[in-house]
Parts: sequence; C-alpha cells; structure tokens
Amino acid sequence: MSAPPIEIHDLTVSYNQKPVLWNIDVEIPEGALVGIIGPNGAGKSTLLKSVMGLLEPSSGWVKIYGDPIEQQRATVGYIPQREEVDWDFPITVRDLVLMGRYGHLGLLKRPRAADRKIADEALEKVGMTAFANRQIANLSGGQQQRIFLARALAQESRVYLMDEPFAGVDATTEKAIVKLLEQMRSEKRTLLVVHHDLQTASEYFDHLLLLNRRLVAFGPTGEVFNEELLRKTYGGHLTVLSRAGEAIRQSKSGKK
Amino acid sequence: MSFGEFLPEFFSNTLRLTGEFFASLLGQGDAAQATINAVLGACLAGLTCGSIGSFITLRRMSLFADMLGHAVLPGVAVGFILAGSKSTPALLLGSLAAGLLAAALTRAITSHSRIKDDASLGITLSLFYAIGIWLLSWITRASPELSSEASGLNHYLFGNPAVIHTVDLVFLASAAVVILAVLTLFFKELTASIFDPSFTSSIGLPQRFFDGLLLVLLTLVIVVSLKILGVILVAALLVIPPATAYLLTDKLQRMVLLSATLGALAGFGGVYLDFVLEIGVGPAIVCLSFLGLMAAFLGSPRHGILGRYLLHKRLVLKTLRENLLTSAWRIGERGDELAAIPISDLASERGEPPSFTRQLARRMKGSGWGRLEHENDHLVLTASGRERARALMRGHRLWELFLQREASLAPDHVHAGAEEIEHFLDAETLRELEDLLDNPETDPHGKLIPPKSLPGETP
Repeated sequence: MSAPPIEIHDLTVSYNQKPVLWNIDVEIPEGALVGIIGPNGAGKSTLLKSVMGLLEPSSGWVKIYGDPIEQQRATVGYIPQREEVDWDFPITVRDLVLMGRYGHLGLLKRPRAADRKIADEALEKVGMTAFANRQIANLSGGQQQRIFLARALAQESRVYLMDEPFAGVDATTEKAIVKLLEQMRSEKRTLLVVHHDLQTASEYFDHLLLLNRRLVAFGPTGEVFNEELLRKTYGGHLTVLSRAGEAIRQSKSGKK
Repeated sequence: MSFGEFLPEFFSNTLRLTGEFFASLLGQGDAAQATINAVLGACLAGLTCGSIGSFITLRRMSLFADMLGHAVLPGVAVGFILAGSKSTPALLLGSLAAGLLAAALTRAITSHSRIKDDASLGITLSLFYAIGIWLLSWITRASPELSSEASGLNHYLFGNPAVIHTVDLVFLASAAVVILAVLTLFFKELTASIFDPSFTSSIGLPQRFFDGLLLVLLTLVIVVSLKILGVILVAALLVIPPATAYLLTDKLQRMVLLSATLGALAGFGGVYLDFVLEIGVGPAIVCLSFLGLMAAFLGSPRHGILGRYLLHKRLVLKTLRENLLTSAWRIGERGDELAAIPISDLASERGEPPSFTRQLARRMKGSGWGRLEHENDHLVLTASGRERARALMRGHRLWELFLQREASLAPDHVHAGAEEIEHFLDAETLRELEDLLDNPETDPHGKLIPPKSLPGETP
C-alpha cells in the first residue's frame, strides 16, 4: 500500500520548552476532508504548523506521502490564520494570489503568463475576479479569507492545511468555502481544516480529529462525533496536562 | 538690523548663493568639485536608503534601523585604531562588523530573556553608541599623532558631505548597485517574506535567509551613508521617504520607486539648503523629508486627511440633497402630485428655516435633480430627481419593514435607522431585501412603498 498523505508519529511539540502537543499519532487517509476541533489552546494551529515544518518538534516526526515535508513542499498548501498578516500591505489581490505560484517558480524567476492564468482562475473559483486589481486593504473579513483560499488553490497542491478558514466570515463566504472544500474533496485532495464551530463540524467534514493537547480521537465523523468523546475533548480532565506542561517549562528554563 | 532691512538682504543673499550653487555644479576647481561630490553623495544615499527603507518600514524594522545607525560608531573607531589611519575601507569594514554584532546582541537579548524588542533595541543602541563615543575621545587623548590623524572622525558622528571624496563616492555607488540589484532580483521573495512569513516558509523559501539578507543590506547602506548624515540622523532617510511613499501609493513597486526618488530629492535639496542657509546637510535633509511627509499626510488623494475630509464633505452634501428629495416625495404623496413644490411647504415638512431650504434647493442643480423656479419660491424636480427620490423612498421603507420583521423592532423605532441606510443601499442589497420581504407594498407605518420604477419609465 502506498504511503498516506499525512502520517504523524509520536509528535510532541513545545513552545519555550513547554509542551503544547503530546504524543500525537495519526494517519490521514487520502481524499479525507478532516475537521480539527478542540478548545482554545488545544494546539490546533500548532499541529498544522508542525506538519508544515514551521515548528521543530521535541520528538516524533511527520511524513508526507512517506517523505519528510522538506521534500514534499509542493504537495502541501498551507493557509495561515487571516490575522497573521498585515492587510494594509501595499499589494493587490492578484499579486497576493500569485504568491501561490512562488513555490513552483523557484528563486529569481518571475511569474509567467501561465502562472497569471492559474491565479486568475483561482480568483474566479472564489468569486473574487472583480477585486483582482484592488489593494488588499478595504476587503471584508470574508473577502480576505477568500483570496487566501485563492492563493492556496493557485498552489495546486494535493494536500491542504487550513487554519480557521471560517473564522469571522459572512454567511455567503461560509457557503462558498464549504462548496469549495467539497469540490476539492471530489478531486481527491486531502484537506485538514481547523474549525471552531461544533454545530457545523459534523456537517462539513467526513472525518474529525478531536484534539486537546493530545489526540482524543480521529475517525469518520459518524464514529467520533459523540457526546462521550466531545466531553473528553472539551472537559476538564485535561487541565492536568497543561499544569504538567507548565511544571516542565519551569524546571527546564531554570530561573528565566 | 530691523526686520524691514533683514528681509530684502536675506532674499538677495539667497538668490546670489543659489546662483553660486548651480554655477559650482557646472564649474571646475576644488570648491566646485566638493559641491558636486556632496550632491552626488547625498543623492546616492537618498536613493539607496529610500529603496531599501521601503522594505525595512514594511517589515517594521524602523527602530531597528535607528539602532543600527548608532551602533556602527564603535566600528568606525575600531577600524581607525586597527588601520592607524582614516582608510575608508577599514572604517567601513569596522562599521559593518559593529552593526552585525549589535543586531546579534539585540536578538540574543530578546530570545534568551523576557525582555521585549523595544527595550532590547534601546539597550543595544545606547551601549554601542556609548562605546563609540568613549573610543573616539580615547583616540583624541591617547597619542598626539593618532589624534591629529583622527580629526575628521567627527564627520561620521554628525555627517558632513563637504568632505566626501571620490573614494567615498565609489563605495556609495557600489553599495547602491549591489543593493538595488539584490532588491530587484529577490523582489518577489522579499515581498512574500515580509507580508506572510509563515506562508513563505511553508512553500520552502528560506525565510531566515531573507531576514538575514535584509539585515546585511541595511547595515551596508547605513555604513556607506554615514558621512552624509552621521550616525544619529541616518535612520531618517530610511524611514521618512518610505513612510511618505506609503501614504501615496498602494503598490509596492511604486512605493519603492517613489521612495527612492523622494530620498534622492531630499539629498539634493539638503545639500542646496545647507549651501544657502548653512544649517547642516543632515538637518536640512531631515526637515525637507518631513515637509514632504506632511504634504503627503495632508494631500494624498486616498490616505491624506484633506482627501478624506473632501470625501466626507461630499458625502454630507449628497445626504442633505437626498433628504430634500425624500421630503419632496413625502409632500407629493400626501396631496396631488405637484409640478412645483413651494419652499415653505418643504421647510415646514423638514422643520427648518425656509432660507436654509432654499439654499439647499438651489444646490440641487449641481446634481441635476431639480431647480428653483417661480421667483425662487418653488422647487421643480427633474426626471432624474424624481427617479432618485423614488429609489430612496423605496429603500427607506423596505429597510423599515426589514427592521420590523427580521430584527423585531417596534414600528416607531425603525425610522432613524432607515433614514441613515437609505443613502447607502446598493442594488444587490435591495434585491435581497425584496426577496426576503416578498416584494411588499406597504411599510410599517402603512405608507405605500414606491414601485420598482416610475410609471411610464423603463425599469
């Protein structure tokens, strides 16, 4: 059997010596539309960043189709949280979407007509063509999220990691994003989406990854979306993990 | 000297000196060469600082640039001590080393303690500057021979383009070429890495390399610009022209070009002002740059306060005129449709003095919505005025109905909100309202909602 799109093995990740993710073990099957849910501070964004290799794990590893992420960069597209960037930055919507092509271009090469075409098609898919030449400021939250999605589409990746694409968007955008996710799934792409709304989680995703510092459960939505597992995810039992994490940080960082 | 005598003399002096300045730009001889060198140096420094400064300010490294400016001073001193002379390459190498060391120290302090960025910058800045001052005074006291050789090191402290030699220009020009080439080659990578570092790393571009690259280029430009502006003012050219350009454009390419141009202009203007007024090139450059910034701050079409004020005023005026239209509509629907509405009726409907209403009505001509007739006592609406009135009233009453049905507001609570929104409803929202409310005919007050189009006119 060929290697899965994402395989996470015994992954522990720390910030300032404080573990925020403990011993995560999971294999994401090809073509799955996975919702990552869990309370604030559960390590959802940290998990995505670790898969992308943006954070160095304390232990464990992540493989993309059997290879380290460094060899599979073009396979995986990443959408950071909207708040991570400065929306007053002086570039146009089209320029931002074109960034999705940079990974394919390599250093020093300029985007070609083919790249511009791909970027324009991506804009079309998210319904933002009319905004192509606008500056990125003056966009609504939903529009910002859509052009982030367009940039990801322009990457033409097989696997996508999305950090809260539904955060702070209007109803129209939410519908558009859901439609897009479903279309991407029908194209056999694998999608990992951080989601904060339990009400829609079971409706939008075919797999759920329940996370709170450690992996509570992963599986088809029908099997894991139940009261017992959700209580385990959101319940109070796991505060002991964050206390333990704090203790480890203090002992390791000495007097700091 | 009285003010009356001072002014004419000042002007004639200025005029004479301006003539001399431009003559020396075309002239020959040592004095002319010094002026030409100063102008070339200041323009090159302004051009280079302005272009890389755009990336620095967007990366929010302005204060970092200020720190680096101060921090290169001990490098100048150490370069001098090691070389035993004011050899330009030695001084530049020393400064470069000091700058990079200061950058490393700043980063080390924040990453190994709880001290935050700004405090860490403050610490490094003052420490390196202090060491620089200490070394310079030590050089002057240490030995008579060093000391006589050292005269002129102060130029690095305060800047003095009058002592720009050919060798300085060669370094400045080479640095400019290197920096502009790197910025052009890596334009897309630098843009991405500044705008969205996480994404840039995620596509495998070496984010740290670009951070480092920016740091080295920044140190380089500071080092070669020192003799123009001095360690204290060098940050001005790195920050003010880019900030000005940032207010004027929304495109990064344009921002870089504009900022480089502004920097070069400030450099030229600074040398000229110093020639005429003798206020020092550095201060002149900073003040000129700031004047440019103020002009953009006031006059920038989209980001200046004057532009925003005019836009606001236009909106207020439009709202006033549109309100007059809806008043006219309300009068019209109460009685017989009047071809000409008496100003007195309008004024009492609106609860304002007739003189005010008349003034407003006179301005309706500007938007083509109506005009005053019958000895300025009646308002006559044009077809487009009636059409606009209809659209406004329709939006107003649909919105009232929407507020009552969907937001469950009482009928006497919905008017104020609709009064405001009626000026801003676009076609798409209107269509949504119509669908949502199922094309109703009356509003919460039982008033008729105007039809989609006026009878006898195409929709």
